Amino acid sequence: VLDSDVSERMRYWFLIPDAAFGALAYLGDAVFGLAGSTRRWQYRPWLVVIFGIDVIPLGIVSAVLVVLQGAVVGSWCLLCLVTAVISLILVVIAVDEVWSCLLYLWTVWRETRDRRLLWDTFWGRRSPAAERIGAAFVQPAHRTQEHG
Amino acid sequence: MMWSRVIEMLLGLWLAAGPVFVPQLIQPPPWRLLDIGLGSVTIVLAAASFWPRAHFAHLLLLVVGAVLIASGYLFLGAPPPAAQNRAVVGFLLLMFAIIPNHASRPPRSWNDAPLRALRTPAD
Repeated sequence: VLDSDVSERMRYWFLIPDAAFGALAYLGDAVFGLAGSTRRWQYRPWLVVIFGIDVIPLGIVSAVLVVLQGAVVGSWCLLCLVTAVISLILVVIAVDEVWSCLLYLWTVWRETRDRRLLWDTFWGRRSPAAERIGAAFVQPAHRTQEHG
Repeated sequence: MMWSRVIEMLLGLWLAAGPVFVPQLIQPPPWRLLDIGLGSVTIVLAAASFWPRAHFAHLLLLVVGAVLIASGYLFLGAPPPAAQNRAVVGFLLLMFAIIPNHASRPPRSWNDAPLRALRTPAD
């Protein structure tokens, strides 16, 4: 797998071995996952979107590449299989935050139809509308805490 | 904690001083000077981000990262270890440079006044 034609071609394109590129992608998962608070879907939606792009499509690509190992290369690699499983687990863990963030941005757009406001909200700039919609998003959680 | 700025400074140090520790990274003088120059620029820009007036200086590291990656492509086909090292550091800089200075805190505008959302009716 590591010395296959596919791997060599990818090294030619990316300068570095595809395994190193995979390690960079996993490091990206960790970095973008750790940066920001639990409220970043509202404070920094752009960061959540980058995290989503890093985790979800790349996780699916990782699974596809593992399928290609058997289908094209004709060989399997245990560590690659393990990383593909980890990628899919990460997708499951990440999807709720990314979904909340996209839902938040969509709600801002649906209620205001203001492109400038949507742009500002995407970059985490505060506005009365974004604050009101964000407050509505966390309201059920507060109610649950109050009723204990 | 501005952990991403600290990591950028370490990456700059690695770029400038890597050949001292890893002989395979030794290259002819022009490339060596490029590594030392870009490594120093990386350290300066990351350190400058700690100064409130230059708190966006780390975004210039995106340019440094792009230059590092582009310089690696000059060796397309069989890049030497130093060019691969430059490309990896470039990709890492692109990753860390977009992380805000105080990423775990809300942006300044959200810090100006308490959020209505965090107030309960009892407040």
